[in-house]
Amino acid sequence: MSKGYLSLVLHAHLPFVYHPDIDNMLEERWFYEAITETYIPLIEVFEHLVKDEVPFRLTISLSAPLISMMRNPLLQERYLKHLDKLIELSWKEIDRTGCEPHYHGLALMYNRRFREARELFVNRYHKDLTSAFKLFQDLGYLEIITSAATHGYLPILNINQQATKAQINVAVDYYAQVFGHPPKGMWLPECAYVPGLDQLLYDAGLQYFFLDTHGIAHADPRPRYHVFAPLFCPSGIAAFGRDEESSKEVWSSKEGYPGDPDYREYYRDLGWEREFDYIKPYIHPDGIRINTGMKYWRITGKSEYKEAYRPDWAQNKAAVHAQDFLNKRQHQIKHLSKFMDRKPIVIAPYDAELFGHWWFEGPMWIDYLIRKTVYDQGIVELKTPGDYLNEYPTNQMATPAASSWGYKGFNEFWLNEHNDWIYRHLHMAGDRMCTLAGKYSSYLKNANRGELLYRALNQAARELLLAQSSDWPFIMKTQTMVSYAQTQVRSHLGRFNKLFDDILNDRIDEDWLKQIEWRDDIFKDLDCAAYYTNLEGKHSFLHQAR
Amino acid sequence: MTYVRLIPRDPYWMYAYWEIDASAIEKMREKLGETLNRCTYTLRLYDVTLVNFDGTNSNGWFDFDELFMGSRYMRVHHDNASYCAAIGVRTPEGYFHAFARSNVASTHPAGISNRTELIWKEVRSLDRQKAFASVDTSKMKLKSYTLTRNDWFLRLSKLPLSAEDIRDYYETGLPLKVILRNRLRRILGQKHAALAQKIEFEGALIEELASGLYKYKKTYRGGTESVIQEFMGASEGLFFRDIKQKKKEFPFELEMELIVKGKTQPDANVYWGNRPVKLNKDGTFTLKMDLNDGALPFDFLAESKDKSLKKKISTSVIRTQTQEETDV
Repeated sequence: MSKGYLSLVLHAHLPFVYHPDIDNMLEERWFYEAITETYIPLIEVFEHLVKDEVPFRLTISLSAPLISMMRNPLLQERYLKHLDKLIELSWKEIDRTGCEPHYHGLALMYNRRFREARELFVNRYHKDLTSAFKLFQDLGYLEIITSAATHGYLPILNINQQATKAQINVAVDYYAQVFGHPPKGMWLPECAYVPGLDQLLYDAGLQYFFLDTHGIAHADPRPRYHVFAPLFCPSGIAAFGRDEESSKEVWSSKEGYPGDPDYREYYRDLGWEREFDYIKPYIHPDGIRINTGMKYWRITGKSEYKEAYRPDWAQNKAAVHAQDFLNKRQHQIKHLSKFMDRKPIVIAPYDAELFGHWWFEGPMWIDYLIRKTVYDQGIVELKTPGDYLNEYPTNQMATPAASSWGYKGFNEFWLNEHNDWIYRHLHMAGDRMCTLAGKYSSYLKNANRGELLYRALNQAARELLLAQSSDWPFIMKTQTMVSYAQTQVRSHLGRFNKLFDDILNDRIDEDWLKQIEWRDDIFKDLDCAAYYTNLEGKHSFLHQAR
Repeated sequence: MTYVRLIPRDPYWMYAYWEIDASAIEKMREKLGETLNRCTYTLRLYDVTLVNFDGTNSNGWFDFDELFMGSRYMRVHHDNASYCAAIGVRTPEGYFHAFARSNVASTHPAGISNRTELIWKEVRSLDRQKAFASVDTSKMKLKSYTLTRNDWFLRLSKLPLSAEDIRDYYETGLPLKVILRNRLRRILGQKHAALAQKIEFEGALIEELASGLYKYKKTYRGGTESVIQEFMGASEGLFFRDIKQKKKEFPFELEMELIVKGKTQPDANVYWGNRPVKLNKDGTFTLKMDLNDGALPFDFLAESKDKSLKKKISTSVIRTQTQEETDV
């Protein structure tokens, strides 16, 4: 019998980047790259494990914007075109590298991977990858949880509590629409928590959420088992804390596994290496060099000198690292179990996009880790937080500390001189949305979905939700695609404010409304405006359940 | 619009943004007249930690005299403290007149909590949850009482907490034992006023939960069963008999240790409960532990190396003591 549990948690999220009016939008490629390099490889890992009848349990959070993009027909078609271009490039590379054995083998590998991805995407899951994740959940392997509707940074949005409630309840209801039942848990965007948030989560019917280590360690009163057992907040929802040790082994660029010299180098891509005329059809049409996803080199060392990637070496290293990770968890759990009156649970959460996209061998590492955990030892068992709460319904009660998993562990990454200007406008828009919803609350209760006012109210709520995404202040702080993030915030708030004025002055511009409904096409089956009243979504799961 | 809003950045920094419109300034001019021209526009940051702030009862405040930029970061002195900001003007005489007051915001805790009470919660479903305090008996010293069979269950007892207790715990910042003492006082005060006067709460119960079960039991034994049941929850297996007044402190106590010795095959595995026991090279082992009042069960299991043979030995030790105290 095991002595404790390991809970692998993958948080999959991308901001809602959808520009139906622009072909080849650079930022849409974030989504395409993540599909090819992370989501499809993870699905393949799950498929192989299921095929081999490996009894595993894993938690994955799929954010609502990501699910929306995965289910969007235009993005599905665009992704397919993108993938076809990659396949074409890989054929050309096979020809080109014919007399370079190392590179030729790699070209063949990419060609096979891209063709297999196409087969999976088109034929097995009919372009909707959420159906794959749903399948593994229904089979009992995955516990899929949700995140806030557009990944809003809740502690700062919480100045207007109704806006925070809307972020939570829209996400819960959207999840229920897609997966057929409400989620058990929520991944708080950026693990950002402030006391009081737990009550809103509990009221939304959720059972648990996650915090960074110090969110639990600094809880009041002091936690007895540190992060190795959940805390129940006074509201009744459970908070699980991230285990620092297991996080560092994977996350850290210096001490972590992904920096091993045998692993694939992320920063050397054919998009930057090949001569311009040759690579031009596969980079941005404006001639901007970008990553193609085909990379032929391994990390090798810290210098610029890179040697050819050796998949067999990398595979071997993934197995070694999986074993090392498992050994450390065994020692950790053996030690902890001496001091605890229950089995300890080690929460190991990671951004899903780390696996495959940044760390090419990451999905392979997960595969090895799961198989070794299930078959090679008896101390550690894989468990989801939901399973743990079923086994241990009694836990210590304490209020977790306000915290996040960002820089320094607090709000600073999302509140600094680069991005603080947005909050004044977001809060104002939140107040305005509540004003609109309050004024039209009885109308919203009985309105016909096709009516102009109804559509305008709901689109206003969508624009507000999209403006609230934590990705925009994050990008502003990282100083990478700043103008894009600023444009997104300004555009969504601009559209919201125009709708606000138009609605109050009874001059809704139907053509313009139709255009922005088409452009900002998210949560179209939800009554988003109703979440800003005390009615909640009239078609919502919560509404029906009560 | 005139408003001010406050957001914590980290344990020692707050961010505020604000706006003052012309009509608010005009109103202030009507109120202060020409004095307004000599006033300083300021942001006043009140420390409202554990205070239900009404504008006058803060723990303290400090002013930031630059309002022209519309927002600013402010260094504060305390982590895990609550603040409320007000924008307004300060007259040359030092009086403050506010245009608007902000939300209350708390800085992040920078370290571990000082409070160590163990409160448990059982959540079976969205509708079924109960909170209770666990009485930690591991360091318990029963000084003048012999544990009976029933008393053994005291070690497992759960002290139910109401939603009101939990709210008080967080809103007042008081230790749990004080909250509980106040609750008992409220209950006794309503229904058993005479009894409430007899019980010396101060000092007695306040320290009981911190130092162990002993005083806690002694105090509560004074309650009638109906009081106890209302306080404890009907299903809890606690029994209360006598009241003892708090005595003068005269420290005198005994500590005892227990040594357990055993022997088996050197390559066998031995477990005490679930815990493996480390064997010496010759197969002997020795365990040494504190012996507190009460019964201490021992279940040992020895397992041969090839796991084909198992042998279990169960025994127990009971420590009792009596004390007599004489006031001269």
